[in-house]
Amino acid sequence: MTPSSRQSRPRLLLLALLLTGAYHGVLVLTRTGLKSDQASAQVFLASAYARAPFDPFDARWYAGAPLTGHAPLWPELVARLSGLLGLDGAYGAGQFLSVVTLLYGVYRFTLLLQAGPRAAGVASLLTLLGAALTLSLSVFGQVGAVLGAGLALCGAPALADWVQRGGARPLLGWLLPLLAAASASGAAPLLLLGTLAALPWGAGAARRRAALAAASVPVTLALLAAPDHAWVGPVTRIAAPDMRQGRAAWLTWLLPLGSLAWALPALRRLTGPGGAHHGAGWAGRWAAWPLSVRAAALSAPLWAAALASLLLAVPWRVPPETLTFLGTLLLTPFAAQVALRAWDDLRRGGRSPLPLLAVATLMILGSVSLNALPATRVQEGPALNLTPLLNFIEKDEHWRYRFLTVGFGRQLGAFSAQTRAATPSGLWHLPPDLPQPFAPVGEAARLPERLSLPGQGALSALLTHPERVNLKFVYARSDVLDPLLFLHGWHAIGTLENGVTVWEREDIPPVPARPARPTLPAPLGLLWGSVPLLALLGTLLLLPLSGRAWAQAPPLPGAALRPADLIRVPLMLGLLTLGALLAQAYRPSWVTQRTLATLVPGAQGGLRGPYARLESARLSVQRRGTAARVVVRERWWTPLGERRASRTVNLRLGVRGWASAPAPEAPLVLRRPTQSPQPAAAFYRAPRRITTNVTAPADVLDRPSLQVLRGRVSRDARGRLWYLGEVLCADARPADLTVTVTARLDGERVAEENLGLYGQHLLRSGERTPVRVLLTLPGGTTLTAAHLARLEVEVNARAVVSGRHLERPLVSRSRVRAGQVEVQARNVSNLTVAAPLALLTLYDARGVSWVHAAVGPELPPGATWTFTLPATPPAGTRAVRTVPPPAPADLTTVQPAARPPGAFARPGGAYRVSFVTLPAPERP
Amino acid sequence: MTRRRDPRLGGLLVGALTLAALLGGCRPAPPGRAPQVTVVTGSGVTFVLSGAPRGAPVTVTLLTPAGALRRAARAGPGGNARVPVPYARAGLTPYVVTAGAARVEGQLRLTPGAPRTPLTLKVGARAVRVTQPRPPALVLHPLDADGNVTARPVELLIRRPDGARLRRVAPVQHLTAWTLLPPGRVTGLLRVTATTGDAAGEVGEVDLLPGPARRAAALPAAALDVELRDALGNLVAPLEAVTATARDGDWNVEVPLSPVEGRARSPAALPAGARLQGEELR
Repeated sequence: MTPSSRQSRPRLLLLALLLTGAYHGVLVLTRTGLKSDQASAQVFLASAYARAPFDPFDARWYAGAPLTGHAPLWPELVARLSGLLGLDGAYGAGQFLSVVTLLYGVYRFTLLLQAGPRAAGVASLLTLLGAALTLSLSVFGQVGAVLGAGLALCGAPALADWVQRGGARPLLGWLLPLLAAASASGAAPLLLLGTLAALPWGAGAARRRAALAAASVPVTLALLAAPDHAWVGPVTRIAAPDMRQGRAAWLTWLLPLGSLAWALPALRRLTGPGGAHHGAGWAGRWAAWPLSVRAAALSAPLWAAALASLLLAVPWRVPPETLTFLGTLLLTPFAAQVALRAWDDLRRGGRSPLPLLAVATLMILGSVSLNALPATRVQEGPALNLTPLLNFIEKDEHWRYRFLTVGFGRQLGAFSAQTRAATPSGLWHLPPDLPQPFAPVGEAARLPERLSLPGQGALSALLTHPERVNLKFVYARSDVLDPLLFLHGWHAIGTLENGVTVWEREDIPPVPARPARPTLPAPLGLLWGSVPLLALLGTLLLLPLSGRAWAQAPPLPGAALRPADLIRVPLMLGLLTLGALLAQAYRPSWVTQRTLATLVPGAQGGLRGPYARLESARLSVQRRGTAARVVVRERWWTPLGERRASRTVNLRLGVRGWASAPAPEAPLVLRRPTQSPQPAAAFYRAPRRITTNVTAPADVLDRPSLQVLRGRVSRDARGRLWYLGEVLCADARPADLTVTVTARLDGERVAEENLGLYGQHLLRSGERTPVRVLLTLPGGTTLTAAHLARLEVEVNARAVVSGRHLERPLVSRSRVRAGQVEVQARNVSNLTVAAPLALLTLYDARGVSWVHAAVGPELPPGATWTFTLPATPPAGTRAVRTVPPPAPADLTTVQPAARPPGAFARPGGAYRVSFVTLPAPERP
Repeated sequence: MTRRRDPRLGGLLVGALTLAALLGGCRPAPPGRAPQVTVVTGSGVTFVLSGAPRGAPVTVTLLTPAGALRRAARAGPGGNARVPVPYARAGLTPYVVTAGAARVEGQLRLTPGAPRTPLTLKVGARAVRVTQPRPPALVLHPLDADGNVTARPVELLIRRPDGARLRRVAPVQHLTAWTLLPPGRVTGLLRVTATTGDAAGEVGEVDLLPGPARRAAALPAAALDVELRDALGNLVAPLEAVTATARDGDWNVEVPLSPVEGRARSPAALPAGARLQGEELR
């Protein structure tokens, strides 16, 4: 056997494939990839394609959205494999296939760059064990980009053949990979463009074919984008979030680059001013560079574009992590040559390779340990057991209603993939939730639930008008939104075995059996569902597995390649990183930030405890010797508005840096248990008829009778229109209330709003609630006095019988002084009130003139809350229209008193204070 | 000398005779006699025809409110035919029977059968206040085995919580039997049963609930512990909204009360002069 034939054996490639089985096999078996950022959304897409392979539309997210805006190949592949393996298993199998394809593609690409089979094998190993691939699979979850890059690199030799010699088979050999790569990731074909740019093409026909090949890339991308514009009917478009949100440069840019940084000094020596062919023009220097150097140089624009995506608003939609991954792949062949040269030099020089091996081992360990990074994601909790939720949804036809989730993080995708129930939310509008080992202050407050939903508006609007999107359930893993849900009339109906609390809104119609949706021409749907997979199949079938004679360029100039780089650069980078981290402990502001960022919301405290998240903090440091005093001005987000507070953190300098002094233990207050004088009330509970026939809701629900009392429309100083009035529960049964105010102008509906925060949704029999509803007119509409004279307002109050949350635990003392109503509210029950909402209703001679509201702190039994609210309507508010009460029905048994029970006199009328009280959850 | 007959003449003769026979066969038949139609009712309707042309196609068309219902058959060798039609809706239904060229029109009258158990009682409100002006109602559609509303009157027995047993007979008019259920003055559970013929149904129930608090016993001086009743003297419903108000210096004090079993106790001490307030408490 000749040495050349020994060298051409792909022993290192086989080693790389063997290591792939060991390393990625373990990753697949431990489902590490499924914990990555994009995995959940991809699993959802795969479930959609598994349900309807040729109809790229799914009604489960965003109340129905097309799938054509997302690269189809990867989810379609998972969908096809899921028939045998299930979605999770198919994801793992597809991930393994993608890695193998990539390694083989890198091997062939390196051979194409005339680096030789040994360097190609090393390139495969570097790719396999490098940080870029691990980050792509286990952190970012961009398996589609990995598969696409592998396919593109596999097609690169065929592209070179076709450009040089033409022919049908080479043409097919790169056209199919181009189509498959483009349908796996919109950025993967850039590697084919890079191949075209790196290789020399001569002139004449070859140049023309190269131009044709270059033009085919944008044409393919345009063809794949065309179906997204072919939908007929109203389409919900989900705008991708700004790429600067949720991404950190150290993770997206520095880590992938740092893993190959030891090759950069050699690249600089070869291409820099002092390098070979210095003095020639750009074209001459480019022509003189070896192909691997050219490919490495071509990665620079990708790194620059990725950095620009992280810093600026850029027009392209390719995420920076994809660009850095592709840049790493272009840099890898050159890095492999550098590493191989260093190894050979050490062996030839008789020096011990142990230092090099030690550094390589450290780097491999560092790369493998990146798989643990997803555990530091801020919004993502531990994996959720979805079985109780899925059982709940399948029970009693709960799947016929839409749901929202709170605190699920990216697990919404995996959850949605397993159920037919729909949600007005989704994951496509959210910025990525990437690992943050040192999460800054405010990260915990970036709840995905705070973002407006595309086509649905803000969360509060959705909770106020749940019937518009058939939203009946909220599955809350976290209780951070409990006050918002409760004050909008939602109630918790229980906690499942997995700790998820189910919130429900009464009186919501189910989703129609055939909701309206846009349509895609059937041939396009057929092509969308079949062409990507056929292109992948064709690519894999056409892959030549036999060896061929690859040209090999002369070795790189030895002067530029120094083995010491491979040891010095990684060590220097590692020491710099370690030093920077250790030095942070000697910065008081950093230590204070870490203290604040790791604050765990207390189990008690209401809006100052579990319902609050620290949004930002401004620090002011006063240092005196080994002690420092940091004054922190905090801004807290709560579901009912922001709160500002300040605190002082005392630090002391020690050997390990600054450390915050432990906070003094709060004195344990043992409250005397309050004995309620009232025996437990046996609330009336409506008998629900159990029926399998779908009948009218009026036939199923038990509806108490209500009375809408006199109201008015007022305009405030900002020109906004408010409906102000009252609703009375005239039934002997308690009511769970929904009030809808409709405004019509000349018979045309201009506003329809539900009662939200400013009212009580759960009424005892004979109890009134104030109603204050903002009438939101279509954008830019201004009503003149003539319009207001013709404005008709209709108030529709409906309810179902309820037995929940009818306690009235607060007694109040109030008085009017200096234009303010001073109130002292005391909790006289033996339960803690988590977040009380006080409603101050002001009456004048014509009824309700305004409703003020205030949110209070947590009130344990016996605690008192003191607050003041204005005793007059806001300045500039004037009534523009009186809304008479509807004619009394003969079911009416209660004659409303002119002055409501519990009202007290004030100058110019009367006032009444009522409370909506969220009970604190029972905690162990 | 005998003259031999031309053989072609015989062929022509046979051809002419065959043509004549064929033409005779194609001649339109004279209008036949109308067949006799007998309608047999039972489980469905069966049309029995006699005197129809032998082998003639027979079509029966029922002009039902839900559209035309057609069934086809063919008359037997004796001119008889039986055409079953799966139709059982009570009422008057026109029909058309054709047998060959003959056509017979008529009307079919089906009457409902005996009512069947169970009778499904539809009670208007599941809960009413005894002080409510309009009483709840019972609506009933007694059905036979085929889903027709029967015509027999429905006998109702209403048992009220005050011990009264009221009997009513509700005739079926316009396919509906209905009656009002007088609730009386006492709270509790009103039960109503319905029977017609041999059929019976579930027990219909209406919760009779008290009216709003109307009368209260005198208030004690310091601690409030009061019994609340409606205008008819019934104890008020649990958690009827009642509040105690008082004046303490320049403070207005309000204490929401939660009556249980008609008694409301204040969870906090009230100043002297406290009074109860409710929508109907004047």
